Amino acid sequence: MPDFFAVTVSQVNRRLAMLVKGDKALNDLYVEGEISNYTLHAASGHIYFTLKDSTASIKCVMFSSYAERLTFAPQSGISVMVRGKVGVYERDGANQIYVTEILPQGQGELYLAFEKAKQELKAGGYFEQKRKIPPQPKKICLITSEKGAALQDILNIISRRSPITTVLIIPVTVQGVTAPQSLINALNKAQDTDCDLIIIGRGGGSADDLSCFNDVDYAKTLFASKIPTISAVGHETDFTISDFVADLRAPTPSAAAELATAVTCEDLLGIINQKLARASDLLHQRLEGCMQRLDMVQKSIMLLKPSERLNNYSERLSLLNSKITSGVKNNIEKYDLQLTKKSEYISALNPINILNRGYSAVSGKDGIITSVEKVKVGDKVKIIMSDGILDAEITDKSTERKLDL
Amino acid sequence: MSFEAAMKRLDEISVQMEQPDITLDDSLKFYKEAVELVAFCRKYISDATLTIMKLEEA
Repeated sequence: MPDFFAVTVSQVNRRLAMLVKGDKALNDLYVEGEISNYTLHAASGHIYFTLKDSTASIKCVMFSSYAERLTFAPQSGISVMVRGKVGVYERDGANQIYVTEILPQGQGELYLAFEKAKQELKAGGYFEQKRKIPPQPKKICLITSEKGAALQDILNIISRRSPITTVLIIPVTVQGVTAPQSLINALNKAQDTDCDLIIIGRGGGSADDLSCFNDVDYAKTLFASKIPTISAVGHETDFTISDFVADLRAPTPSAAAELATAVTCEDLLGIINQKLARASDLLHQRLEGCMQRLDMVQKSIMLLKPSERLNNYSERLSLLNSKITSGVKNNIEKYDLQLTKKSEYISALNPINILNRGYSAVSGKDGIITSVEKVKVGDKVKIIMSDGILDAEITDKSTERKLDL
Repeated sequence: MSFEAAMKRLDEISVQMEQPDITLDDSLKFYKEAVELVAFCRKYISDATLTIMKLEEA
């Protein structure tokens, strides 16, 4: 006997579930088989079916969140490839696949090839070259089928938006086994032209129809293009490797034509008008500046004109004149006053005036006698009075007597 | 003269006319040239039809 105690069923199933969960190979895998017992649970939207091959079967569940993304209606009896992870439903101890995608047979292989190529190119850095698309390319290289509607759509749009553009068409085969090489040849030819943008693509089609745009060699040639590229393959919902590798993905060929003509002729006319308006503004500014300078020059000439200067001199002259006049006048008055004072003083000294007040002067043969010492008794003298002269003789003299007035 | 050259010349003229020491005479000359260039560009656009060329099938 192996053990001394028994485990529960739950424990067994739990263990199984953990083992399966721990197995990386079972966590994300693609499984081929035929659908049977297909059931869509109406209330929840979950899908239940059994996937089988000639000898075995496994239960599958696809939850509604994934089921609603299905692009076709699976049914019992068809061969498919499903993607998902294996898990154990613990209540029943049943293995089942939790399905995230269902691809119809045929498409399944394409899908796998696509995923493989995508991973490989992504790892190689082929999705990281995103150059700027010229906003106003002069010459656009258009690589597409001559028979497709995409060509005419693109030409119409470019013609409407930017008729000054030149379009160089390189016709290619866009489906079938020769398509990838045709695309590669066209891309190589385009490198020798003077085009500044390449649009490569085709209109809508089945996944098989678009598959040449998933070709790895084509993708590498597209990556190597010296000229920026826009990839426009199928409809908005179609994604190809070409879209990832190109500098820009356009959802449709028509959209590519619009992206390639970011600056339309209408825009250009607007830009041209702006340029003219700018030149006009600048000319007006210049004119304005000249007018202002003229004005200033005119004003300064006015200030400099001779009559103004004469007026200035004349003013200065009359100012000086009045200064001088008043100066002279002041001096004259001053001298006048001094003269009067002096004349009064002189007048006071006039001996006649003194004689008038009752004094008299004695004059000898040597002039006016101012001292008793200058005469002797017996000298004849003249006494000068205000109204005449007396002749007299000195009879006595004394220095003791003073005039007692 | 090509359309591109005309557009480029228009830009050059703007730069020239922005120079602070440009004479009124030169300014007028440049403006006259701008008017002619603009007329040329407008006509170029209105007369344009899409040029389509084709290489051999690849």
